[in-house]
Amino acid sequence: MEFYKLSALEIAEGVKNGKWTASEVLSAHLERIKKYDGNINSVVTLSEESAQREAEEIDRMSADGRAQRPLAGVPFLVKDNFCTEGIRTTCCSKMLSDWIPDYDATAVRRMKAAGAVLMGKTNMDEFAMGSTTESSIFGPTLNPRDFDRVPGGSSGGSAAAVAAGFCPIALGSDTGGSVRQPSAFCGVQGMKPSYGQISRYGIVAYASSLDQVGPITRNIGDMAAAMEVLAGPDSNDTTCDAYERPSFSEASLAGIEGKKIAVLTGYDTDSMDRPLIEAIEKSADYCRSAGAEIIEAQLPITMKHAVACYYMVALGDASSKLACYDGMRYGHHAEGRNLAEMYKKSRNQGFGKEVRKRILIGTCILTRGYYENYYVPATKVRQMIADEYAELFKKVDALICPISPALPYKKGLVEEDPVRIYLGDAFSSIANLAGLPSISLNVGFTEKGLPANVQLMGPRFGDAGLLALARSIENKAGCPSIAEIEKKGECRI
Amino acid sequence: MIKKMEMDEVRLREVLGFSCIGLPEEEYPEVLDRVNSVLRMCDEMQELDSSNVSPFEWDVKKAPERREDRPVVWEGRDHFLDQAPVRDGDFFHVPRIIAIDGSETEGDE
Amino acid sequence: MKREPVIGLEIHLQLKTKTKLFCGCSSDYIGAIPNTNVCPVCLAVPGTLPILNDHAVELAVKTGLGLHCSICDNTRFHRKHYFYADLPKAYQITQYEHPIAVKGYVDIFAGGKEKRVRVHHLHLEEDAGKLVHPTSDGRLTGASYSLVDYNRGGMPLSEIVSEPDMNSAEEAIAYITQIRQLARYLDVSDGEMESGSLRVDVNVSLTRPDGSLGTRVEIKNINSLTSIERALEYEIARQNKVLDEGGHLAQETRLWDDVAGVTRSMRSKEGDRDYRYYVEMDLAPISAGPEYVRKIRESLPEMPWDKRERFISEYSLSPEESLHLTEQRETADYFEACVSEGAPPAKCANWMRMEVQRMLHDYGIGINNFPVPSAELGKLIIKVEKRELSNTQAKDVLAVMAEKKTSLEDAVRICGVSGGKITGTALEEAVMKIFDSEPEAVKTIREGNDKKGAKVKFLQGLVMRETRGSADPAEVASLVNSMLH
Ligand SMILES: [Mg+2]
Ligand SMILES: [Zn+2]
Repeated sequence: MEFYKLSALEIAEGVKNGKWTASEVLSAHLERIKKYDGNINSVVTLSEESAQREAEEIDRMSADGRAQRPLAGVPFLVKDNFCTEGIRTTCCSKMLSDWIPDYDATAVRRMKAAGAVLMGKTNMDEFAMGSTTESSIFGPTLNPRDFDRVPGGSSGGSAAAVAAGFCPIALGSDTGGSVRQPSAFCGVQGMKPSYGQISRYGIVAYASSLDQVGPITRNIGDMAAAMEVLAGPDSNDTTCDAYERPSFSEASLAGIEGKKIAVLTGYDTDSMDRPLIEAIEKSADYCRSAGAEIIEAQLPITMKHAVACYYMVALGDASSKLACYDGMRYGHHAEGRNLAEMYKKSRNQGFGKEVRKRILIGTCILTRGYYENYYVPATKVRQMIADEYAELFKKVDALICPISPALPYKKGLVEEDPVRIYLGDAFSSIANLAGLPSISLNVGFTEKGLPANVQLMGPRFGDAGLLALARSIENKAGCPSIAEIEKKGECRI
Repeated sequence: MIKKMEMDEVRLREVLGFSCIGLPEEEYPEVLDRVNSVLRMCDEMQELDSSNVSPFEWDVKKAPERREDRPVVWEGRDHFLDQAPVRDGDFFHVPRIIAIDGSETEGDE
Repeated sequence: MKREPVIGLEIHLQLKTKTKLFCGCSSDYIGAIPNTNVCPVCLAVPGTLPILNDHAVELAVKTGLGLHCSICDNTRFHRKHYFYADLPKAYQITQYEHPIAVKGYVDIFAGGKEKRVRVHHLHLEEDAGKLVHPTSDGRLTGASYSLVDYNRGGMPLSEIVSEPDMNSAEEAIAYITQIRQLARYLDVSDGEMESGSLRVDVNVSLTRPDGSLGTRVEIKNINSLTSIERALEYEIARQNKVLDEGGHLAQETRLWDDVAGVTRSMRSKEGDRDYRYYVEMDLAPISAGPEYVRKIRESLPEMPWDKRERFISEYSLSPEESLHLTEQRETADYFEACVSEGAPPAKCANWMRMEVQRMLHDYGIGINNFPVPSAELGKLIIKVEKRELSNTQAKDVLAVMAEKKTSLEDAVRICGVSGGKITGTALEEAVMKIFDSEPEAVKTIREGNDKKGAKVKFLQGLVMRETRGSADPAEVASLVNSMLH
């Protein structure tokens, strides 16, 4: 049985009706990771023992007929910025390289409670700051579809692992596209739910008002199932909304007949990779054939100012949230002759270059003068962007637009052309600014086998409707295949 | 109205102090360049009239329950102290305190 | 023209909640083992988020209402950034642009007159941890290392910021006293400077010749009312001296050195600090809507100043008496409970000011711990009113009640004034006893030789002494007369 080819729901179904055991499923996945992850470096910590314990527990329960949990026996991986009890949580930084939390992030806890089995932690850009997964202390992750390319980032490890068939569901965090852009680069489905949909408790923060947990899967059925498990209020996070969530799985089957869907126009298509434009056209066609009406829409304020606005908000907050790493209570510590020197040395040694620079830029933005003249206006423009979307979603049910202007980058582009990489956030970061649900959906591959994803956006807390749209398109486009990571040969870790 | 401002070395030096980050002088230009390019992008926001807009706030669909005033004991205290890099008995140990801005001072309230 | 001191105060009140402001850690930290009242939230463990304590909001609103403030519908928290060992997140969550209560006032009485001090605002914020300095001579300079205890970190504070409306140390003290009284009346804070549940930072400047405000100096590290008075007087004199000598004052923060009795510059230029305040997005906005505020307003106890007025009008007390009785809510309650037993208010007030006060002082306790229940004192005062006990006896009885923690009846028995008035057979026996002891006098009277009645008076006096004043003199007179003849 090639368990790795199964979807999460198929695995759970088999565990629940006794066709196979969670332990069998787990060892097949662990085996695949150990054999092939050396090729792409997507997993940074494998927690075999605890995973086996969890799987055995699921099997004991299914023997009692108690395993009727939605994700029974589904192995999963999480980005290394999710706190995991007893498993080191490093943010792929020297700063936290041996930090072991004593608690599970709410998202992890909810997955486990649903019967899913945590296998380990995935690679990422240090402190989620990057979009190529090259700045990790564990070394870069490679794109499983093309080993010369990056997997995107910052949740590159999670997206690559799902594409490589290491697990059917992986979790990432998305501050400006960090779940959806790597999903696009690796050719899988990634979602950033509405802000306030999933608890942020236990996610090592990048930017408080932008961060959101997002599942990465190979199909929308699994995505909806994961959403149903993950979403919900949490007494540990007051920014997580307390409204009663619909059944995402059920809602994802609703279809889109009669829905009005906008396709974004009015941006510079010339600077985009051609296959990605075609992917949008194709998606629109699929929608039409599923009975939806397609119209064009423009978002002038958003398209012009989102990136600048995003950088102000994200970096400002990052400089604040990363101030707690002072080498005292946890994390990398350096000796100093006095307190100030200890702080400075600990932070300089613990943080990588990019993280230090982003902290500096963020601090600049918040200092006197710049705060009044730049930061505050940016937060107002952010409101205007949110308003622009709110207006649009009075008229349409969803929006289709690019998720990334480019196909997966070649390795090392960060050094060569950093500006191009920043501008890569232009489409993805708007969902974070406005708090909207957004799905990066694979609708096919180029001739060279590179994935082409599109972005679907919906109104705030319209996550269920968005899943229905994604599913309708997926029905026509088909699910992405598992990357042929074996072709590079075995490389046991 | 946004006033055009340029980040300079003087301010950067201050910022290095505020953020407890050290930066070799040869890297100043690169950081200044990046800050200023973000600021130049923001300059374009000038064209927008945001005078009647209030800063961004989340819409709350349903407010979460408020926390009751009931004490909870944390079991992980010893484990945490064990892991701490600067444990000294029941305390955390820190070297001589000179305020971050170079002066000697009591904390703030 | 004389320079006038201008004083503004920032008072931090530690709120009486059971848990910290943003986490479930117990607030009962005094005397606790270091770093035991801590959790991932107040230690700034990655991934944790602040969760606001509902009760702290309520106490802040209560205080705000007591200060005649308007309560803000939508209030927000900000982050105030600075690196320091006692601040784990390297930012303090505090209220900056949108404090919970604004624009209030407090009426104080100082220098023989009433004065209104405006309150700029009241805001909520978290406290910092505590540093322990092994070379503890009270100062930080020179310590080779410090130890950090986060038990206090994250405790809820409400900071009350006054307008610069005070012009003397006396007014400043009166203001602090008034706020402390309010805090205790509302039961929102212990308001003790000794234990740090009330802390005061002082801002003081001198007016310029044109009447405008001069350079402002902030003084921190003052730990008692006496020190505040001393620090203010020192600082006002210092500023005058600098200006008299043609010098310039720096806008700075100075620390009060209680031993040397001087303020010292902190050498840190506050103006250069940049706290980078901005909205704390980890916390949802709090809304203290009109309904919420109305409920709290309705639950408020009578304010000290209202009680003071009422005691004057309702019980016809003098302003001084009323001020004394309403100083503490518990004293006022005790007094009213006495009165409700039927004892005359003026008498109750007198007993409380004289006897009770003296005993409290002797025992070194507060009215809360006074062993005599208010009802018993009320009954005792009534006995005196009914002349069942003399004043002297009643004092003895009260002393016994307090000493032996007995009921009024038992105390009366112990004092040998059982049953109160001595009358009837008991009195006849007393008279017989005196007659037996003074046969000469009895004989003289019965033989009709006591023309002026001096001997009768003599015997009556002896009976009164025998009964220790608990007999009715008229009854004694008539009984002595009838028994003689
Ligand atoms: Mg304060
Ligand atoms: Zn705590």
